[in-house]
Amino acid sequence: MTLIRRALFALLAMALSAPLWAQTAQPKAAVTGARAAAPGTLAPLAAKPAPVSSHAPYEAGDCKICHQSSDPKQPGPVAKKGPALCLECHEEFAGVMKREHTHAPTRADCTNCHNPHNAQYRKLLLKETRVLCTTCHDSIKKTMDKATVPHKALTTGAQCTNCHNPHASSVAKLLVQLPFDLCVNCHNRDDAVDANGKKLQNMKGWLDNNKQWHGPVAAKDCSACHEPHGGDHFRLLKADYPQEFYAKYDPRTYELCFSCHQEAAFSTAQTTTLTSFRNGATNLHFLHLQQSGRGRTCRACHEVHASKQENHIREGVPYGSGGWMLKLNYKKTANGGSCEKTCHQEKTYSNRPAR
Amino acid sequence: MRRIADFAARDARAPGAGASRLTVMIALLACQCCFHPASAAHAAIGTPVPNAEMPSAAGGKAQALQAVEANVLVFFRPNQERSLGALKELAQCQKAFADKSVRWAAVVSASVVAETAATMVRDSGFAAPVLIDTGDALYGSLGLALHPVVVIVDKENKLAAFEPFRAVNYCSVISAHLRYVLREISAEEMRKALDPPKAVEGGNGQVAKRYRALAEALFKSGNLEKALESARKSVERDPALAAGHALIGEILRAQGHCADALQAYAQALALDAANASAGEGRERCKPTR
Repeated sequence: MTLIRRALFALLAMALSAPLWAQTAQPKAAVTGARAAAPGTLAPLAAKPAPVSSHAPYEAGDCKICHQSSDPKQPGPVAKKGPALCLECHEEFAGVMKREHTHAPTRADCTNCHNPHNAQYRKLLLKETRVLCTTCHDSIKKTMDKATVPHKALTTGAQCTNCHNPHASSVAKLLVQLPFDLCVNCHNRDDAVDANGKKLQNMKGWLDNNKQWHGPVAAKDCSACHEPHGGDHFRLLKADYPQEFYAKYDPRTYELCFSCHQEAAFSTAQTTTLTSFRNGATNLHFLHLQQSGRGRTCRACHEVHASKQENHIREGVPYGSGGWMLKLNYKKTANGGSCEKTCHQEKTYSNRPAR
Repeated sequence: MRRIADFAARDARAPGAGASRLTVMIALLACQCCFHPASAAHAAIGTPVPNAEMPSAAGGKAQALQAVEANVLVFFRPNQERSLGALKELAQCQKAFADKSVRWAAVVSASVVAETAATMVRDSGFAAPVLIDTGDALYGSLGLALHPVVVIVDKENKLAAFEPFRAVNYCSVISAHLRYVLREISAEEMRKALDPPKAVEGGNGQVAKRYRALAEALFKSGNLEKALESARKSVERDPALAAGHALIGEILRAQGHCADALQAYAQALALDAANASAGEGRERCKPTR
């Protein structure tokens, strides 16, 4: 019995000591096996496969720069806790972290995202950028994964860090710049295509040539209308917006516009207050949108991003398949405006008494 | 017609304004004929804002504007996601102005149920009275066509800022406008706040400083060769980094290469004549007579 008891006691002692051993012993992976260390480990990776990035102090081979001892086998704990140790060399981060918006994991500890020795990913990251970010930001992962209209910016280049600064920023949501400034970094080419291969407008070129900008564009807030992480609406729009030139009026299909504009301005036949596009009290928005069967959508008359004319009125609309543009010939007058010889014969409207 | 509104508003602020209320209402109606909610642009910055007496959702009446440095009018509509988002963000925003001469008011059309609007404001945490804009008179007079919109009016009752909802940085933008109206920041500071600089770090200058710091750590731990290597990387990245050249001097001197150290010290002092480390090192390296 005594022997059995001793054996059981020894087994129990081994079982209890195993976690402690695992924490204190030098990780084997660092010395022998490539990537044998658990994903996200802070221990040095093995030499093969060659790490993609390596920290200069680790490369220098002097553990004492960061640890209490210079013995690679027993370096002991680090000299300082949290970001303080990193800031001794990465001194610019003292200023970076004074920006208005800071990332909680950065405030807590640099090693939340970085391996201080070496890594299989750029910038000593513990995982691939997108995987690392979505470890916490799981709702973004869900949005990205189920998006039928994806955004290439999330999967190319620096991925999440194409647009976000993972440390700190003066812009909310840790954006590197205001949305507009970020978007036109890519949407500035004539040959750009979306994730499905469809040609995209050179937005910067268009905006440079059309100075009457829609409010959200002027506010540099592309994300007012677009969902940068992907979604189910064409052109990454946040909500429904009619794709067609003609459509039966249904307020649900204008959800995007009505998230700011008042629906009543388009569904009230007679008004003297809801819109200036009226002839007396006859609401011409209502008239154009609510025609049975051939209701015009916003795009029939308006450029949503920018135009040369006021009220975002477009110069022309595409007609037929030959790329012909049908001029709208809109003219603003002192008390209203007119359109001529386009969709209809010249029609003039007046929304206030002539002075 | 703007003049009429201006005079009417001035009348309304004058002592004994009660007799002029009818005039104000007439002026507001007149304004509505000139400015339309769906017009292309809101009223120009600097336009006088009529100070009408408006019903309050809590009962009674209140002036649209009060005698403060800045009035912030938040035009919103109930059951609208963006209005709720704006009110919640402004609730956080207004805390920074708690002790300032700022009056906040939420303004809602008389066409909506006032109780619903008041509940929405209360639930958002935005601390402000809810004013009822009868006939959308104030909204119309400012040429507004959207919800939500924040309108900031200065102490002279003139339109100072107009900001529709933004998905990003809304509070920062409103705060910047407000601080400018309160004269806490300059026009240039406001411009910077509205268009913040690119949030980047790194670059050769910063990397050079990192190598220098590493070199110093290696130097302290007695690893002179590695320290020299790192210090040289530092000045390769940023040849104008005086502290990098000075450290090279220190390491070379510790290695017993005073002639080379003197050259490094000289470079450091050429870049920064006040560099103490280089100055002291040079003295120590001078041959004794």
